[in-house]
Amino acid sequence: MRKILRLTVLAFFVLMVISIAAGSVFAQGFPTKPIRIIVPFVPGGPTDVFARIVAQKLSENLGQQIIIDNRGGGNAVIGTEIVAQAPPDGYTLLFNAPGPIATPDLYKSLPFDVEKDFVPITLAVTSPNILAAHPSFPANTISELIALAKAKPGQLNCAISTIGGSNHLALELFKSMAGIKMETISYKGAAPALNALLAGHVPIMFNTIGLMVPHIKAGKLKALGVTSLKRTDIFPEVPAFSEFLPGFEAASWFAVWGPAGMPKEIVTRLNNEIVKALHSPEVKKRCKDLYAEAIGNSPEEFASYVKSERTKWAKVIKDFGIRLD
Amino acid sequence: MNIFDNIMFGLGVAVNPLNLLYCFLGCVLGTLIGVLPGIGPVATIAMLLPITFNLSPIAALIMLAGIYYGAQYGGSTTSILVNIPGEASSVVTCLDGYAMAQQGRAGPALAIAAIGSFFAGTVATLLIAFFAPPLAEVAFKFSSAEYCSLIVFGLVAAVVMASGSLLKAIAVVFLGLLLGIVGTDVTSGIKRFTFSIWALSDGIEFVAVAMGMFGFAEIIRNLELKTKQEALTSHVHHLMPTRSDIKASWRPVLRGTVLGSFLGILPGGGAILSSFASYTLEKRLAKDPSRFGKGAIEGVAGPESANNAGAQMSFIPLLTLGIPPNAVMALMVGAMMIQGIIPGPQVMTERPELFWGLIASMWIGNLILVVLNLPLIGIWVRLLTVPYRLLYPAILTFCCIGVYSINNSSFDVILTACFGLVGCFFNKLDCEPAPFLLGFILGPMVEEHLRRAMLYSHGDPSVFFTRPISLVLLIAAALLLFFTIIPTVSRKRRKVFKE
Repeated sequence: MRKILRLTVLAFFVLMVISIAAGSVFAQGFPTKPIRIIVPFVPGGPTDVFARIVAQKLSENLGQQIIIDNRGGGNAVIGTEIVAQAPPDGYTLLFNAPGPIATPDLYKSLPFDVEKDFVPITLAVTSPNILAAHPSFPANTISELIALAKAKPGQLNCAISTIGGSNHLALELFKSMAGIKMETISYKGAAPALNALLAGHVPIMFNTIGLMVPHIKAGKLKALGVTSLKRTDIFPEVPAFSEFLPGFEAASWFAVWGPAGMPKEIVTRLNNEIVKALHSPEVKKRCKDLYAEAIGNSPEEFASYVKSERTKWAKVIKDFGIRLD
Repeated sequence: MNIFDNIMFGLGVAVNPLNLLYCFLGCVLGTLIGVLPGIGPVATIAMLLPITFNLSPIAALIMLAGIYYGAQYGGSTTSILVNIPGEASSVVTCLDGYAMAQQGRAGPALAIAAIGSFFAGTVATLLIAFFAPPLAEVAFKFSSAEYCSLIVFGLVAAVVMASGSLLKAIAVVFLGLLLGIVGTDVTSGIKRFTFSIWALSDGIEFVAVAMGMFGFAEIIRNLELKTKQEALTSHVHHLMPTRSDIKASWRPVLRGTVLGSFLGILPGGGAILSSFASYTLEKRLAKDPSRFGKGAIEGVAGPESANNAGAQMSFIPLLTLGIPPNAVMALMVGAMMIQGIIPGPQVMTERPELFWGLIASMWIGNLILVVLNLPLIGIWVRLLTVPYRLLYPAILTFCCIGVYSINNSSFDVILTACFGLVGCFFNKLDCEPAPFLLGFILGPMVEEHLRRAMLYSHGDPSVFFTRPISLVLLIAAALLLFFTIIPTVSRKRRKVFKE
């Protein structure tokens, strides 16, 4: 009788130890099957390209396959919703450009809650935006541009590639800080907008540096200003908007998120691995070739960055009444 | 380095055994997915993007390009054999191609499509090699006002295309226009008719509509007429086109090539218009227009050449400016960016092996495709002899897989089924689906360009008439409409007169 009791107690202790160990082993063993990263845009675009670059290296490091699942549509809402509803086991992640997650106030209603349904993992890549103009455009500097806009309020046309996208927001921030009025003409994406700019149908456009660099270097477009806080290395002679409008910053950023409720160990492990991939020389070089910078910070740093972005843009959206319906 | 040196250099890159292998692989894969109804080059290229990481940039681009025009060749196969258009440009081939197949002439239809496509591909490749940069500049002359007028012309052509009642054609075009509005408006960002369904916020997927109205509706119709099943499989005549076929086709092929080459340069929809425009042109020029819709080989030869020329020419904005004119080219941009190459005007000078190697491999690809496709015609035609009760479930399955693969969305598959029903109604009411589809595609485009042209001119509508190209196109559209309505009106007057 006593032997059985002793055995039972021993077995109980052994089981407890195993389950505690298994808890941490579970995080160690993660990932045991392929991870799916949802990119809420059609394949071939910048978000998709950066996601694939990071996923390639991450897959090597983890020894597991990483599947990029493109779920474009609804201005990134469809793909984002899928992640919000996915099980929080770390096998479904979101790789996003600023969209509904950074600027939820643009939408009347969203099928998810940006504060409650997601867990920030890390800020992956940032890329500054640049204001480029057709060579025939009369202004050559930002101050000339502001003066021109003030002389003819509402007469100046500016192209945007997606309503609510980072280039649209950059334009609105510029208009609000400089106190000018411009007509915005929107296009179905960066390609038609760039085409119109090169043809001279529109005079100016904000967009990612990577898109405009080849044309600026070829002399088909001229650069007026960059939207990062400091001047860029690629075009050191092009001033930053913040030199004329203190505090002006409107970069494009791409980040990794997971559904809310993910265990802390998995978030930490994912963060460590993704940051390691981002700091690897291959990924750094590939991003640099595309004029972007691979960042990779901690979930807390990223969360506070998101908070500041959301507050900043909420004010601009409210002031200008931008609505995506 | 003059042009001939460049071409030789390009050929040298393209016939490198590894690049040749990838070209062949791309062409075979492209033909396969083109033949399978629904699964298109966009989904395939997207799936293969990770593989391109490990290839050299030129091999990756050659393979992806091979998939793209391979799918054009293969797409005409499904249009002709089972009346299912894989892409917007194959819709027109369904009209006369399928009619020819029903008359047992699927072989000549497929052969002329392949040969016409090869000729157009060769001419287009030469045009790109010699005139790529100036042609890109020509595209810049087309602002939104010109696009708007061009599309108005296209809409009038849609009405002309119809072989049945004129009134029904106009009604159906307008119905298509209305359905095209569903989605998010480009200019304002406002959602229209989406009923809070996020899946509709980018509009109704075109492939779902096309496959539903052409493919599913055709299957439903065939199942209704049970006797038809034997008729489909019985007479299959000779596989090769006859002398009279070739005599009737060579001029449409030439005209289609010219039309497609020009329209293909225009980014955003130029290539779609090329096959429709060619069909309308052939119908207008034919001695007996009533043959169209019932198996006129000109209706296959012209549009097929036009859409292949258009497809090849759509590489120009990509290669010279780095601007992708359609979804497939956007994927190519992605493939280039993954390799760290930023597309732009500098690619031609900094990476000549990419530019010239790709151009040379385009011609080689076309050659591989025509050599591949002509013998396969026998096999495809034999497919028609499979009992229909085995064939149609297979077609339905492939269509569903294909539609799903576009956006990984099951909503699209449901839409296809709904449009199958709509297509059924159209058949019962004797309305044609082709003008409906044209209205569906062109409606949102004409609205986008109309409003944008007005924004450019700050609200001045005279811009459509003061810009020369726009004025010419509008006059052409008016003339086309006039000459289409006049015979109908005079026929009615004669009827009244008789009475």
